[in-house]
This record gives sequence, C-alpha cells and structure tokens, in this order.
Amino acid sequence: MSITAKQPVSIKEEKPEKVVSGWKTWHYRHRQAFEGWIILVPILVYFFIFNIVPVLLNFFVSFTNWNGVSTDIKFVGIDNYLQYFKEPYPLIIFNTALFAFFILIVQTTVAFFVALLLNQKVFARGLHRALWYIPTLTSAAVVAQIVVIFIAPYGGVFNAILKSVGISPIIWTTDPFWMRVVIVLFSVWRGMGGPVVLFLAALQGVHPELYEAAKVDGANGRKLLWYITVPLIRPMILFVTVTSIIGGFQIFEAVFLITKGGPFNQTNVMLVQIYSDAFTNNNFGVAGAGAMIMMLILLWFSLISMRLLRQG
Amino acid sequence: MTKGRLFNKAKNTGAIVAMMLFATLLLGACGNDATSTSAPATTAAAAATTAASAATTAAAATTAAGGTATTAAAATTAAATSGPVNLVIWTEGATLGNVDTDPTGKGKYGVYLKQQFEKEHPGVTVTMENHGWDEELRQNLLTALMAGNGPDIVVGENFFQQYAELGALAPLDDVIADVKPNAVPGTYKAAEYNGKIYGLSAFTGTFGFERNCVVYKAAGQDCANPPKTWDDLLKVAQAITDKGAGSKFGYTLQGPAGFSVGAVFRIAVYLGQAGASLCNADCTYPTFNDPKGIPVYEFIRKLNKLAPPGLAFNPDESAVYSELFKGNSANQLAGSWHVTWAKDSNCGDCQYSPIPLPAGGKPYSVIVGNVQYAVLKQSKNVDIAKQWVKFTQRDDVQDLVFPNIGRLPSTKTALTKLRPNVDPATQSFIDTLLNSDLGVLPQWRKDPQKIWTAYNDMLTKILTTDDPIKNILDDAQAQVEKLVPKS
Repeated sequence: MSITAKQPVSIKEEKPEKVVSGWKTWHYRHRQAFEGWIILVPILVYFFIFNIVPVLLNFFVSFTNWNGVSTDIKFVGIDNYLQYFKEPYPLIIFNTALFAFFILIVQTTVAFFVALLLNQKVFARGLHRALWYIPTLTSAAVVAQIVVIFIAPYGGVFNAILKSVGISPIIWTTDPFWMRVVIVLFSVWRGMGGPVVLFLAALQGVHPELYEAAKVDGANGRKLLWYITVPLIRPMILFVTVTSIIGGFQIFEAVFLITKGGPFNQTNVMLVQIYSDAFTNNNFGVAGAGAMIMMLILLWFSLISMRLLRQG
Repeated sequence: MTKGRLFNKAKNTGAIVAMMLFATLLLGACGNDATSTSAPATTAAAAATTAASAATTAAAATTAAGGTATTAAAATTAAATSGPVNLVIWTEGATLGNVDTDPTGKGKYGVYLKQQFEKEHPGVTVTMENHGWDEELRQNLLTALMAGNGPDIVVGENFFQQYAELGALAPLDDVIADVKPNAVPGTYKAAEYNGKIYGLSAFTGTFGFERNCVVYKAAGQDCANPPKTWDDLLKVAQAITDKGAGSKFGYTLQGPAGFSVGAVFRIAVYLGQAGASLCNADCTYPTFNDPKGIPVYEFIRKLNKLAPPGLAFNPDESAVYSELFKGNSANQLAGSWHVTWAKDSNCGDCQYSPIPLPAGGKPYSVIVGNVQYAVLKQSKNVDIAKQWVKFTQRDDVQDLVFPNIGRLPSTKTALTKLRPNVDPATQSFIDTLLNSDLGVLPQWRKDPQKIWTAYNDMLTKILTTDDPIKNILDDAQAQVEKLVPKS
C-alpha cells in the first residue's frame, strides 16, 4: 500500500485565468456565505414566523383590551401591566417564585445523590437508570390522576395510612401548606429524570484515576465527593441549577391538573393564570402582559446562566 | 477576521439580500397559493348556502300548537343546493363517541344527524368533530376563531351568553320561531342574550334527588317515603350517619375545587328553592351575599357534617358521587344521567324523587348536561347551519336521543312521548323538566375564573369553619368587588 502525499492546493491555481461572468465571480467570492445562508434560511424563516412574530404580536396585544374574538381592539397603555400589582397577581408571582425555589433545591439535590448512587457498580445498573427516567416519560395527566387518588381526603391512600397508625385524616385539598408540598413533590418526581441523566453523564466524565490518587493520599468518601467530584462537575451543577429555575418558573401541569390554583389561590402560578386570563377570562391583554413579564424573568435567568457557564 | 466567516463584512451583504429576497418570494408564493384556492371556494360555498337556505326555510319539520306538536319529518323537502357545502359541526362525546363502533345502536343518533340532514339537503356534507368539552372546548374554539377557521356550528353548555356578547354567535330567532314554543324553556336560557336566542339544546338534563335504599334499610329507615323537606332530609341523614358508625353516611356533598363549577351547580338548586340569587337582575355580576342565601349555606354546612369526612373536597367529581353507589352514602343530588350510571355501578336499589324543599320554598332545579348548538358568525354557511340547529329539534331526531345515548330530549313533545315508556326514575327527571322552574348557572361577563375562584373559596370557608355565614358571604362579595370591579 503506497501513500501518496497530496500536493498542496495553490490558491493561485484555483483562480480563474479570466473573468467568465459577473455571477460566477460573485458566487465564487461569496460561496461560503451562500452555502451558509442556504442552510440557515429555513430555520430562520421558521424561527421568525413561530417565535419572533408571536412575541411581537404578544407585545402588541399586551397593550390592548383584546378579548380574542372581537375586532374592536382598544389601546389601553400599560393598564394590563399594572394589573400585576393588584390582587391576586402579586400572590401568584410569589407562589411561582416559591415553587421555583423549592423545586430547584429539592430536585437538584436529590438528582445529584441519585446520580451518585446510579454511578456505582451495582446489579442491574441499566434497569435502575431507566427506572429513574420513567416518570419524565409518563403522561402528566395520568400521574396527576394518581396523585388525586393518593391525596383524596376520604378513601385516599395517604389518609388510609394515617388512619392505620391512629392519626386523624387530613383534608389535604383545603390545606394550602400540604397542597404546596404536593405540587413541589409532584414536580420534582416528574422532572428528576433529566437532571439525573445530566449528572450521571458528568460523573462518568470524571477520570477514575483521580479518585484512586486521592484514596492513596488518604481521602475518605466525603472528601472525594467534596474535593474531586463536585469541582469537576461544577459546570453541570450550574447548568442543572439554572435550567431547573427556568423549569420551575414554567410550572403548569401540576397546578392545572391537581389544584387549579386552589385553595385560596395559594397554589396558583403565573402560567396557569396566563392560560385562565386568555381562555377562560377572554382577556388576552392581561394574559399578554403576564407572558411578557414571564419572558423577562426567564430572559434574566437565561442571561445569568450564560454568563455563569461562560465563566466555567 | 478570517476570510471565510459568514458575517464578516459588507461583501456578504449581497448574499444576505439575495437570501432574504428568496425567503420573501417563498413566503409570498405560499400566501398567493392559499388565497387563490380559498377565494373561489368561499364564493361557491356562499352561493350554495344562499340557495340552500332558501330551500330549507320552507322545510319546517315540527309545528307546536297548544302544547302538542305534529311531527312533520316526512315533510322534509329536499333542499336545492347549487354547490357543495361542507357543514362543520363541533359536537361532543355522547353524540359522536359510538358513531363508528356502534352505528346502529349507541351511535345511531349521531349517524342520523349527519345522514338524514345530508339526505334532505343535497349538496351538503355534514362533518362532525369532537373538540372536547368545557375548558378544552373553549380553548380550541377560541384558537380556531382567532385563526379564522372555526366551525360552522359549535356545541357548548355554559358560555354562549359570553360569546354572544363578544359578537361571535349568530342569533337564531329568524328561523326558530316555530320550534321555540316546543323547547323546554330552561334549555335555551343559557343561550339567551339581550332578548335573542343564540343556541338550542339537542339534549339536556336536570337535577333530581337520589337515594340508596340499601343504606336506608340498613339504618332502619323507610326508603318508600323519601324526604320531602330539608328538615326531613337532615333528620334521616343524621339517623343514617349515627347508625353508620363512621362507615355509612347520610349525604354526599360535592365541594369546591379551584374554579370548577361542579359544586355551585348543585348548590344553585337549593339557592333557587329558597329564592336566593347568585347574581344581579340581569345576572351579569355576582351577589354572593344575598341574605336569602344564608339559610341555604347553613343547611349545606349541616349536610357536610353528615357526609363522609373530607369527601366534599375530593376534586374528582365521579369519585364523590360513586360513594352512594358503593353503599357508603344514602342521599345526594343527582344529574339525570345518574340513572344509567347507578345501573352500570350495580347500585342494587337506587331510587329517585323530587328534591326536598325548604319551609316556604318552591320546586326548582337547574339545567345541567345541556348540550346546545350555536351558529358562529364567522361561518360561511350561516343559513344552512341555522337549519341544522333547527333540525335537532325535530321529533324524529329528538326521539332517538334517549333510546340511543341515554340522555333526555329537550323538547316538550319528545319528553311527553317518552315518559310512559321509561322507568320511574327517568320519569321523575322528565317531570322536573316539564313542570319545574328551571334555572341556569350565571355566565359572568368579566373574569369568570376569578369570580368562581372567589365563590369556591367562600364555600371552603363555610364548610371548614364555624364562622358566621353572613360574615363569610360579605367577605366573599367584598373580595369579588375588589377582584372584578363593577364596570
């Protein structure tokens, strides 16, 4: 087998000896840009139509009294935005932030330790890993129905357990504290599959020799975790943290399917209220303002995440 | 800066401009294509509609006179339509659910609505679709209206007044004058706005009183004599609860959940009996603190203490009402569909009677499970669509409702004809429809979600605290006025 070295291509040789036509010259000079734009244009058109245009339209709608049906649309200035300073919106924004915070803390912490366990050499490791991802793949409506069966005040699973150990049943659905706990647990359980997979991927990227060297130096399990694992997967921890905050702010299914915002609006969140304002209250202006506020909050978190990730 | 970067300098401007031009042309081409195909279709459809309406206006099917009606199904003149019309109807599960799987049984009603109308209106194709019910339906409808591709006819129960006010519906008065006297008045009340009718009911339901006699007998109570007054009901429910020792209860109450209206649907029956109102004179704004409502909520509070503990707060409505079928509860308000549900749930001895009355109260019930159809103004086939809505009122159509889908027809003649052929339970519901004062739930014009949430919060306080009812009602009213100021 002989190897023939390729002759370096001379730029001078590629150049046409004489100008054949204006188009060919233009095309030759811009060929890379041309190819790039051919690839980009479909997705840019798609992005423009389905992302930019709706955002711009929503921005416009947020300053109007549009009800979704009538063509008699009036400009109302910033009235729709001012609604967010009146009842029940401050409580709804507070609830959203509260859920985002607790979902972040619980989900990230539990997912990290679950990933650590799944990274160990245990029997049927693949099966264990798959099991943790199943909740993410399961229909939210089905899971919510199961949750309702669990928290049913009469004949529910939780109250049956309490009754069996002699504790008085709790009417979960009228207790704001317990319903908030249920929403957080439901969201964590359903959303944990993604962070677990991400943490697991990061953990598998840590070279085993680092642990072995640290063990030789006398490091115990806790020190291995704190001085080897955590620093090396820090970018992933940051990524999961920021995406969890953004996901937490976008909480919808759990509230909509289990509590509908009750009791006393204590579990109501921004996306559910935006949906209700649009499709139940026929007030697309207020819904649009809510969506813009939501977008700004998420944009802020996205920028922070980009900055943190860039820093490493 | 390297030579090969995409966005490096002005020399790429030409490429950018060319690509944008290409994209513009591409989009422009798509736009032109859509316009060119839809315009002739629209024109054709409009022409066909005009012709069809002229022909079908003469095809009056049912004539009501002095409480009796003459079926004129045979008098259906074939409509002369000059071109093809595709009449798109958004219907619901009971009508459409079994059309494909059981077209001669449970699906017969849906099949007839399509085939018979098409037979009588040559050139018209009826396309029936199911786009959900309640919230799901309203979301789909609003999305379709915004996109300008809504159906010709839409089904619904409790939002037609709101949509009529928004200008989305076409009034039906010009075509229904001859069938209106035969419709049970309460069945179109929810579609009445500013003196015009925007929807007619294809089939309906109402509330009655349901009791499980097995539970009655186990507690030594006489099930042959159902409670006739609120006091009777409280007395028998107390006796059953006392005897049940924590496993059997006297009453099933559905409570509040989020902004759902399941609870208020039933409580509205008791409020109506006591002459209390949930709303102002034109029923567009809430009056939750009507003093006549105080004894009603006191009665509800007492009933809840005789119900399985916490059951009222189960957000799953079917789980609440099936406790009676399971033999854990003795009494409840029941929709007319409960008769079939009880049989399917093997309730050995479920019986039905008029709803107990308060002292000095009047018989009253609320229309529920009322499947109405309205014509959308956006429709290209408004006239033929109105004819279809009218067609649902005909005796030959109404007579198919109960035998095939187990629901109650909504015309007086069909109900009267049906009554002798059904069981006593169904007869009691028919009697309520024919003889009682029937109300509908209010349809708030502004922010219904916020108002119903406030109502449900009020109800939660009534059922979970011992605070004076008057204070709770006043607080709720103040809360509503703060959330949704009177305009």
